[in-house]
Amino acid sequence: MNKSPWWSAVALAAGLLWSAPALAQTAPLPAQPAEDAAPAVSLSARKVYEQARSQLVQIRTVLKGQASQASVGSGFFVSDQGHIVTNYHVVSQAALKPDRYDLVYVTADGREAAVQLLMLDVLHDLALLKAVPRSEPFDALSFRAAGKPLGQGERMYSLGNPLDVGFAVIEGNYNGLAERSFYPQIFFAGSLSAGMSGGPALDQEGRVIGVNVARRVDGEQVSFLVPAEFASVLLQRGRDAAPITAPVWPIVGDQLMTHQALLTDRFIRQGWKTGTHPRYTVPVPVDRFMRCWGRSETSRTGGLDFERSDCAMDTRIFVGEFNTGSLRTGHESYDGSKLGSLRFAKRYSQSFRNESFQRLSSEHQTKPQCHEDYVDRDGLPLRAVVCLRAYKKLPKLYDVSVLVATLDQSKAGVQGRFDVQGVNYANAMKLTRHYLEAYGWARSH
Amino acid sequence: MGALALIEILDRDGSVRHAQKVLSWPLRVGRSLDNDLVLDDPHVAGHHFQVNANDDGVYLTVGDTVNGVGIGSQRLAAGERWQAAAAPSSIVVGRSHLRLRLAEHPLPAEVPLRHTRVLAQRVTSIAWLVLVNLLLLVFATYLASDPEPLPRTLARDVMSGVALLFAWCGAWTLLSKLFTRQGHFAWHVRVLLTAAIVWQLLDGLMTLAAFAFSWPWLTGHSYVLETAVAAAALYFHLQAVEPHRPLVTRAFAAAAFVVGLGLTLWGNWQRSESTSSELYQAALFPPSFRVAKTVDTDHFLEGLEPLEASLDAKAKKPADEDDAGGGEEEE
Repeated sequence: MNKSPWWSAVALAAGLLWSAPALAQTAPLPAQPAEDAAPAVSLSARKVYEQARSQLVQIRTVLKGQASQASVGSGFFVSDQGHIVTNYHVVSQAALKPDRYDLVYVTADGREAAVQLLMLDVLHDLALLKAVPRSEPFDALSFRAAGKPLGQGERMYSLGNPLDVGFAVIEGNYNGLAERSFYPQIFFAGSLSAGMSGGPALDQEGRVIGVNVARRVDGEQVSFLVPAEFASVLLQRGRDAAPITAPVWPIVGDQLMTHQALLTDRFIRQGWKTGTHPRYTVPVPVDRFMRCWGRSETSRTGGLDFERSDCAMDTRIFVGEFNTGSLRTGHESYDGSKLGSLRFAKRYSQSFRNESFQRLSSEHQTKPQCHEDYVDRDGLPLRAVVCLRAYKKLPKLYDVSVLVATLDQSKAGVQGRFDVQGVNYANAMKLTRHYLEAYGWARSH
Repeated sequence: MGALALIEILDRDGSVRHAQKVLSWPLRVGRSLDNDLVLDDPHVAGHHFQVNANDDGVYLTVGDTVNGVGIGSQRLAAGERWQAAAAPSSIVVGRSHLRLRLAEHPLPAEVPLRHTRVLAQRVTSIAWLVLVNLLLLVFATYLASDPEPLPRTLARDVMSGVALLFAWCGAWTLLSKLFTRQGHFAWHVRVLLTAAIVWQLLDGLMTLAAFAFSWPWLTGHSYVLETAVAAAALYFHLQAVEPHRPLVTRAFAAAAFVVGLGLTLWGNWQRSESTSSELYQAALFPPSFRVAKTVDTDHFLEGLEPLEASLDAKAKKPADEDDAGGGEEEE
């Protein structure tokens, strides 16, 4: 299929996606002139920061034996025994390669100490750490009760250490949950920057509402928080866990298994939209946790006209060295009536050929293996190609891609593609069947 | 008195550079000035060989030489003897090619001069080849371009086709001229145009068959036949460069085929861990060209089952060392 529209739609629909890891890193940005500075911090922001100052930490991933930092993020104490919550993506390097990286935390008054990894929640991008015990108890932030959500527009404060410049408090507004996210995320109208990942977002009373996680790079003040309840659950589960010293690939793999089961189930249950093509039924998902974009293009040189539709999930699971756990569909509907059948066949072939099935490097994934044939859908002949890749560090997880072209007309047709990342083999087959069986004749036909 | 024999020095292209009548035996050949035929070749001995006659006929005796004498595929060392054959034989000494013609050798009939007829024949066949190629080019351009820009694209494609033809055949003509003193331009044009037709027809037929019968392996391995066509074209081009060494040109073309095939296979394996040059069969023809039956979804999914074990086996293999660390560079 035509490549460029596919990607532009994704960029538009999902600019956020993977600005998230960028948050953990510090990229030097040009300093803004002083007169551009935000308005004076309100009294309550000052109060909130004063209260939270001693609970706030910077999390550094340090290269072993070199003492230079590989990435930085933020975090906060959640218990007096020294439990710290941050994002998984802040600690992922150390979690996946503990032999190469160490984790340390640095307090607002500049004290640095070692910290250990206790538990992960890759799906919500959270990690639970524990500071080396000390004689006096740690100051800890408390979570806002789960049953008492903020009202839209209420003031809130995000804390962290942006770009390793220094601890900061950012004022913004609560805007409810982000729409069409697979897992709930709070939409925070405030300016998050790289390095603030894992820092707390507090209400006016200084209780934790969420954890800074990502922002949209194509917008202004469109930022996202992991709801505090997931951090609270992680603390309950991991409070007394033994520190993790081995690479966390098996834990990540287990959590992705849970994710793919949920994703498959929710995706199949939500079904397909109707009326997507006058002649066929073409699979376009109900966009509950996906976003669909469409466009139409008429050839200016008397050639092929087409319409396309792309649906992609905003949510992707950040594993550390790559993303997975996402799902995407797209199709193009071609009209070659001005071309004649042979010329149309040529164009139709080019579009069918113009597909890539390589995603990750050979360090992480096998080369694709495909199966293809003519498939009958109640009398509608399809050419179907299914390609699978296996993950090398996540056993029994696969990426599956399905490519379909209708083959009943000589001057028109539909080509569709379905991509699922990180599912087990049974679900890969289930989703392939679900997608293929969505093709057929439209009722009106 | 008639000559007993004729000893000729041949050029690289087989034409006679120098011929010398032998009026009496023995005929002595070597670098030394007291020979009947003096060869200024550093790889030739002072008295390299001599030719004598007795009751059994003419024979050659190899002198005191380190390099010996080559007669056809035969190699004679110092002191060895060779009885002359019933037809003129080529004799290689050092880097010099000689031919010995004896008076008793039967004289082949005169070859009629058919130059003009041959030229006219060639013109017709080349015209046909040009026409077919032109039709194929027009068809390919028609398929690939939108209706509006077709005339412009066609002009561009024909021009680049002609430029390519002249560049390719021109280069071969230079080689021919260098080694045979004749250009053979028309020959090279015929070779190229014929190969182009064969290539395109084979490619088209294989793609069509792959679509019609759902044989993805056919388009995936069409490079085998295509490499063979290219090697055959190379062989025929070389014939007009080294016309007197058919064994060498044949071996060269065969080697080119093997090397070309090997490189393609290696490239395919690196890219997709399979011998096929494409991951799946992508050419789609109008629906009426399909012969293969459709399968139902269940049957199709059954075909996917064997992939699991093979993917798992590949996933267990560690990645190449040079790939490792690719993820970290992104940090």
